[in-house]
Amino acid sequence: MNFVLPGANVKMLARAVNCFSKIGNELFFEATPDGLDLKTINSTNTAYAVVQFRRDFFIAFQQGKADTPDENCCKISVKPILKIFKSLSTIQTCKIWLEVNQSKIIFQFRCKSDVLKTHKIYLLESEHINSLNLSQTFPSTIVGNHKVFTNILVHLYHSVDEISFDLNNDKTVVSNYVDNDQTDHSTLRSTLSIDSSAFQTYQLSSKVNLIFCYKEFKAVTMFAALNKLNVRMSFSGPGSPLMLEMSKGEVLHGKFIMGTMKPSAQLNSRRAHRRKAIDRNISNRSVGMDSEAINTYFTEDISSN
Amino acid sequence: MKFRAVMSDGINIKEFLNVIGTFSRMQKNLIINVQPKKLILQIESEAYDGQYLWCEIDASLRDGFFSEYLMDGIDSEHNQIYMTCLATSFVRALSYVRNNSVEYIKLKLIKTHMPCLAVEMSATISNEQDVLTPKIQHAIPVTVVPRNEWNQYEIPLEVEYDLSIAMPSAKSLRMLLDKKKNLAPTVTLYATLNNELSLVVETEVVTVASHYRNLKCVAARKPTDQEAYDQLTNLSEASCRVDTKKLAALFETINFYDVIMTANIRHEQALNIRFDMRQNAFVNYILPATNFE
Repeated sequence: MNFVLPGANVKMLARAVNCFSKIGNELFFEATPDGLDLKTINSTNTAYAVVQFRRDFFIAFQQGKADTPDENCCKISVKPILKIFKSLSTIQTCKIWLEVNQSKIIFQFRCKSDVLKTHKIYLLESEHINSLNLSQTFPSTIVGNHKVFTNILVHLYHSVDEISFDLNNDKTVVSNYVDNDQTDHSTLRSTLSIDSSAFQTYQLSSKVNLIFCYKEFKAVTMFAALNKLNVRMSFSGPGSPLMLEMSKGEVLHGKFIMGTMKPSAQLNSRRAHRRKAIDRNISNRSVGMDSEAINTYFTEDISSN
Repeated sequence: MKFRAVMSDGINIKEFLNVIGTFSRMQKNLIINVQPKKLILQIESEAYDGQYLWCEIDASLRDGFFSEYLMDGIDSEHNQIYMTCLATSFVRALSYVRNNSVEYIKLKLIKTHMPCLAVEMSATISNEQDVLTPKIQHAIPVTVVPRNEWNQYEIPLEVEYDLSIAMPSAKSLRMLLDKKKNLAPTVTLYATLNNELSLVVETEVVTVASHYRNLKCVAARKPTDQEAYDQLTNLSEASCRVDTKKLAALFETINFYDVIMTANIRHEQALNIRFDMRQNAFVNYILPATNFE
């Protein structure tokens, strides 16, 4: 794969990379006929993110000649790529291409004063995340301006692990989820009540209480805020995944899927299971955790021919 | 047992956060003493230390610090409440006001399955078309201190000081003490009726003295009767030797808006620094003299 993007769009790409760095440790690049898909998944398999950059985002876009996964997909560690996206204001164009035989992905920035900066990042052993296309439609959906979400999250402290959204017809109550509520006598409990009229769309099939990871949710809302996008949050019930979507015109489409806590798990102590990095086996996922992991059986396997 | 207080003035609210922030940097636990006419915040003083730091806020006037203030003590005989909480939790609950304005901050004692001090606020944010008003409540778990343990939190209020002198700016003192703390473990403060305050550190090799002039100094002892008056040695100079690191630490952590600082010295025994803030609220710090070489 091989593409060139203008300097103005490098910022958007950098923001996506930044957001993903707070979710997972690795970044997956995939070139499709429609454009570039950037994906990541968190270590506990409770959050999956994909940002699709359509063709109009690029000055030039070319998939690999053979259209095989080798030519079009790659995986890299997120740390090196974060480092190269500094001092973005001088970048005029950015060219990205994959050197398959040397297992590298190359980022070349053409900057002001004819400076050419070339960064080569080695690929990690090839692995493929299938695009997660949840075919189910969600019964409930709310749409809010990024400001609504940012104004909610500003009151929560960064050490919060899980956030709880209690959605009622007239209002939404957001709070930090406290494990062992009865026995914990030291954690600050924060509760925010926001009127449902603050959202642009508020369609609830029934009242629901969703509990999911805070850190990843905050990274997603920050991405929406930086790009000034509206956020669509679709969900069904506790234990089922929730989806956050945002788009910028025809050019960028972000989809973030997060697992929510199953109701029964709330009764038991979860401290032992929290935040352990699990060895990832991407094909068959059995739910070993109390939060629904993303089951890749629901995905389209685009690598099969 | 009941407690409900409301602050409606933005600057009072920010100053309140400053006090709690300062206290959270000194000690882990914060002690809150609710009395009918005032609210006292303290840090836990270690017994061997003798250091005291407390903040007293006058709650008797409705146009003062608190626009509303209602309390009911632990029982009818002892109309006070003593409770402790983690200082950082309180700081987190209030941190939103550091950079944003709120209409009010309401403090209330609530009992869910455990006693909590609830901090409520309403932030008004205009969002293009809509006006967003999320209502926020932070519940800080507190431990109510039983009556028989109240004496551990007594504040030494009866100490008489010899001289009372105005102090130079906190910033100047902070920079000075930062340098002095590396020279010697103790620093001696001298206050004279000539309106001069000196800080002196002595080492084997060198003596470094810093003098501040034109600081109004008055005698602080008040004679109660003729006898006491005769016994009074009218001190024209009072000095006190204190731990440099502790004094430096105080000036590093304090962060108030506009305060009037006064130092009271009890000759060779104790140093008291009083920070008078607005609206009849003040912070008091006592550091006893050290007697080691």
